[in-house]
Amino acid sequence: MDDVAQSAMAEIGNISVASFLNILSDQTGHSIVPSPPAVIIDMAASILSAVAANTMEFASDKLIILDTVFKDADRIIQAKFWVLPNPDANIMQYFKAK
Amino acid sequence: MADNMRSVSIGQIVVSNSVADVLVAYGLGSCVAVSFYDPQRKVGGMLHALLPSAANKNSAPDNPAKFVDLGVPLLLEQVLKLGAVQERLVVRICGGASMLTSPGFKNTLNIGERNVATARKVLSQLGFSIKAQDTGGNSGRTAKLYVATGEMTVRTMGQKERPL
Repeated sequence: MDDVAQSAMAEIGNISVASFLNILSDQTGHSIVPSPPAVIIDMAASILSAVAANTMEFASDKLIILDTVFKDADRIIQAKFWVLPNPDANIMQYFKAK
Repeated sequence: MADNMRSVSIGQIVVSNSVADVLVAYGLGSCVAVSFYDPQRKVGGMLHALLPSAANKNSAPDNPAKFVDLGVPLLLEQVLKLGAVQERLVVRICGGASMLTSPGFKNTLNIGERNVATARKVLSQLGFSIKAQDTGGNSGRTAKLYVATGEMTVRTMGQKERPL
């Protein structure tokens, strides 16, 4: 994947995450601030475990993963959109309450 | 003989004395895999640990094999139970990459680096020297240990398996 494609990936991620977080924020009343986008291309397990490790070291062993499908009128994009909130994030109080 | 792939997932220790077995840790990112092998008895074992130490946890860990510091002694115990002899054990480590290096990731904890450092420390405290290692870098790895021969291989994305 070249630089332009990676940059496009980052922007798609940025837009998707921002709109998703806006809805989540509206529904929960918590303010949620996304970090700048980053692109990693590697084995899925390597990426997810590294993110999980970073989240889990000082916090709970439990992670919340929200799974999503992208589609519009004429196509479904083969992609996964996973949200792994930092356990320290305000939003976790909302999930804990559920 | 068909290889019998036995996945060693995160927080798991798998030991074997069955020569058809291949112990595989898929997609090691910042995780580290430690492998022991007794060439005479053909006993092998692999640990796939996520975090360096359980010391940062408030409570006793539900699964010690998730941590390098607790997992390595457990791995040793289990290969010895299968008949391996400590003095003969061939020790290799693999993994511990820094996956989250882009500027979007703030406050990451160098877990890969610390996993490897902890593995080296614990192994040296147990009196082992490391025969081979493939650690660090920024790419994920898949590590395999062939119980029949004691050969170990490492593969990164888009590359062929290479011996470790």
